[in-house]
Amino acid sequence: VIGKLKLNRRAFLYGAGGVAIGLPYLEGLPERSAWAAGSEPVFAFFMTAACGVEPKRFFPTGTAGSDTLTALLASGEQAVTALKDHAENLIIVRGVNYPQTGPAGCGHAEGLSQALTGRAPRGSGSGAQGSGASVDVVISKAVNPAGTDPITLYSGNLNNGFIEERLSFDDSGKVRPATDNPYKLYMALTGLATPGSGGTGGTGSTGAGGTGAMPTPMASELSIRRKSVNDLVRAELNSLLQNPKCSAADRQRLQQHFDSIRDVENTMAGMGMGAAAGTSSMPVTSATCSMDGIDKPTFDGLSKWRYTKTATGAGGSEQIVLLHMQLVALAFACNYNRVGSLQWGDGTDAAIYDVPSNKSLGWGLHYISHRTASDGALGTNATAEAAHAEIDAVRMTTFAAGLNHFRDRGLADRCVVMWNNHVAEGNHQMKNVPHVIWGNGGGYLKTNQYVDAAGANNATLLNVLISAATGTPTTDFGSSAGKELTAIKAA
Amino acid sequence: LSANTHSARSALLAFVVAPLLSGTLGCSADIQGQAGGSGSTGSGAGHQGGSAGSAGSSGKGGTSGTSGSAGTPANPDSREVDMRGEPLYSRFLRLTVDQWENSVHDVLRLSAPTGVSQDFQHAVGGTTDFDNNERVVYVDNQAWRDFQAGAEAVALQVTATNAALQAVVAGNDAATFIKTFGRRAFRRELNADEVTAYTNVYTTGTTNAEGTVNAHTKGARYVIMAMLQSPNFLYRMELGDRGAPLSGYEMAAKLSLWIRDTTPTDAMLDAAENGSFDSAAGAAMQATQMLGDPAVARTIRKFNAELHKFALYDSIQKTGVSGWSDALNPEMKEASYLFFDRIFSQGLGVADMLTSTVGFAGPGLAKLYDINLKGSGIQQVDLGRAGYYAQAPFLTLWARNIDPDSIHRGVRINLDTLCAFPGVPNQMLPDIPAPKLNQTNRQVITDLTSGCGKECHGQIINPIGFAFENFDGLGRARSMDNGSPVDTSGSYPFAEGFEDFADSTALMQIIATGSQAHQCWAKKMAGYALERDLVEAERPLVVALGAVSQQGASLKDVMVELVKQDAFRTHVGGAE
Repeated sequence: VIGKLKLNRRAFLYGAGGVAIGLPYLEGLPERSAWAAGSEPVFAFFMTAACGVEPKRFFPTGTAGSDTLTALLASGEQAVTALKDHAENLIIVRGVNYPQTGPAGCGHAEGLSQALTGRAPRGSGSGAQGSGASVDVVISKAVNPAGTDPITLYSGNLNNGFIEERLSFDDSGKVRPATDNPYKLYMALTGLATPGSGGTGGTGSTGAGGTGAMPTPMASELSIRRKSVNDLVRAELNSLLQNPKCSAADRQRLQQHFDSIRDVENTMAGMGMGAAAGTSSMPVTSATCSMDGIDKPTFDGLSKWRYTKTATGAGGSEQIVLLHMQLVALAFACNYNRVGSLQWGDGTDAAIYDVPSNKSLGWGLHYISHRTASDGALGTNATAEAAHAEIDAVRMTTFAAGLNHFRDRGLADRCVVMWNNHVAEGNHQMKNVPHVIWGNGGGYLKTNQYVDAAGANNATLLNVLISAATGTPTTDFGSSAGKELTAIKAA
Repeated sequence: LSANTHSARSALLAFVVAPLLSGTLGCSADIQGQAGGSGSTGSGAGHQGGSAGSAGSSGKGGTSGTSGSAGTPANPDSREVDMRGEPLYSRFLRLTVDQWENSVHDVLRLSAPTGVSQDFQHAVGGTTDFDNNERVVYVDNQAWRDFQAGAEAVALQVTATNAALQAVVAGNDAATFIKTFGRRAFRRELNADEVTAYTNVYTTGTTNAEGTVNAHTKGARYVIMAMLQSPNFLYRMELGDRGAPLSGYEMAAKLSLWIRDTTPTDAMLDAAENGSFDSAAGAAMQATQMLGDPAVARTIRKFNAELHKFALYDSIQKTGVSGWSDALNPEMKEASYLFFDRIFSQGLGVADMLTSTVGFAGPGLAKLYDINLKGSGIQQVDLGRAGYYAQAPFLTLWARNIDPDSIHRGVRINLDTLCAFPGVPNQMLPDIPAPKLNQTNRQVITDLTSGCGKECHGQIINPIGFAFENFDGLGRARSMDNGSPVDTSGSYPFAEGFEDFADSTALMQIIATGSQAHQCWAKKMAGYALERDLVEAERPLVVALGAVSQQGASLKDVMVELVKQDAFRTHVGGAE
């Protein structure tokens, strides 16, 4: 049950585990990535799901380009019809290929490594990684303050799964760790959102973070303490950075550490705890940057959450995706961060979906997608194929529910949410990988259309989304070779 | 053929043949074909016998110039330990989450784990052998938030009362506290500038910290918070000249964090100050003492759990298999831990891991082994089976429901015990067909892998997997398969050349006698100790350590031998 939360920051501080544990986790900031007046930001969120789709029952019926999505999704049983309420804000793209269009070893790791990099992977087998920065990292470097990492989330089995994080990569192609429990982002964000209607902790009218919401003595002490500690740690890092015995890699490592301190300091500044706040021109109102729509009891209940293999149950991957999306929408509305990614399932996702056709099988998604209970990718089990289509519908329903939060926070005109998959279908092919885009990217994208990319490299699509998110035309991302998928651009 | 529904990670894998590729592995194989980095010129791949020219199998690149491009078909009679790696030679090795938790516990003199680190960001898995590898331990935004929050939380905890702080460092003198606690936290003496800097922090705390505790406790609170966020605590540093010996303090920290998974004790720091770590013999003596510390048990457990993927025991799942229940999962996991615990604690060695008939079983495993237990709980028993790989946990994990997963069994032993690269996984894996009348699992797999994947499967993967055909998917002994006798015989190209074997017992004896498993274990443990990949240039180190092990040394003795080596005791990396 999602309801309006009536919360003030003081109540939260003292309620969530007590000061000793709760306080240090509070680092909300509405102003971390302030922007100039008249240049409103575009936020970007990239979601990559596992193990392909059942294409015959996934894409809209009808020919791409023949009609609007409003019309194409109005009826029918295709998986994407679950998105019909968002048709006006959607672009569905078929015919997108990854640079490496088929597996050279393990298609799952290789697909994941291409999904947001637009480059053929580095290496093969289950250890394949990106061969360059992923789109979230590229955008983050362009629009977030220096040293601020993109939000990197995960819904799946990080405890004992197989092929875990393999979606977001830094400049060197090193995979970046992700956070699976929504509680962590929730804790980071809760301190920044203004109360829902009836709350008592500040007005939340201008995105300044409600300086009145933070208990003044505590805020002051926290600010003084962290400044004292951070100044010292920074000095120590500076000293180490100047050590002539350090290699370039050593310095890069220390600089990353250094920048991360600054990131948290920026957060504090946004809370009105260390620097002037309220420089935003974005109308961060109580309707957008607020706790409305955030189900506090559910999130509080996640403090001890651990992965469960049943995807469709409480605490399962579908619920976790939805909760992540709620928080990312809030994070964007509060300008906590401008970009994020979510890996939706392990590379070989063993999550079990409770859909009708899987009742007799009881298989995990990986096997469902292979149409056989093995790594063999050429199975023919018809029941599994039906189950896959049903799972697609479940996942699109989850996606649609998550998009509701973006819509309700007024992000349709200043956001791009992209959903794709790490393979096209269960046989590890990476041709015709489904892509769904929500939001017009600040007017940069032409929505309400079904596009056939006709085999275009996914980097050409990502070029357009980078352009939308950064405001800087980009045609050289990944292996795009100067091309962009112009069909998704507004005229 | 019933469906295999155990976890995806332990998924049954058809390492089968498809056109065009000679490598035939799948996603569960944990094969990490790495792209070439910046410039290896490479001699490494020729040792692997890998499939020529497959994407991504070009060497791991790196600085040593010893890895390098694949494609040179190996001499099948001379398979050596795979020495490809991508070391950074970082001089700033961030504490792992466990090391942070253990170190905080120790420097604060706590009576129980803080638990604060439970939800810290974990290291990315699956791209390095171990989660302490330099490539996955660094401080990014989330890690910093975690360490900052954790430091603040535990500092508040131990300064909640004046009395609580006295358990950390007795007395109320600022300088004493800073120097004493600082030495523990930084694993060395503080210099004068540092004492001054932390005194300033202390003073800030005395005037600003909240609460009713006295000024000293307030000041100490800030100092604890600061020191636990300091790079001097969060990183194990090695800052000397390249090729120069590590300092005593650096050695103490390196040894303690490796062997005990925590910061050095005061006594170890005293020994470091006194020069007890400075010589190879002295360092070896210190290491020997640490290896007698009970804390070493958790290190050994972590090492074995990561090497043998014990986490997968949590998620084994089977459908319609008589004799199976989820309750077996924790029993299998603990029995596996106990087996390796015993090898280590009893002063046994690599050969014993492969050949010891002593195992562990609880009520569930006893049924699978068809033995009677006299007591309750998990007990030590003589299983009459040679080594870990013939035990039910391994055999159940790597199974296709009730059937043996011969391919995965073979792959795991190649990777984990022989350090043999079996080739790049196949592109498109066909399903494993149901056996025909009287057709054995071995025959099914042989037929399936007899095409262009023949080299990898026929020579390297399948023979080892087939040696366990007399154990079904629950590790139960069997002599017949689908109405036909099982065949466990085979031949494998070890480093010394091809050897024939009749069954898994004979196979394990050959492996235990030969050099490869000993070198492989030495390489894995050295990588864990050095917190980085090893490369071809370090083959002599692996060979030397392997020789010690092959001569019957215990695991502890091999670890001590590693400590004596320059590779452990000198600085590497740093400025070019």
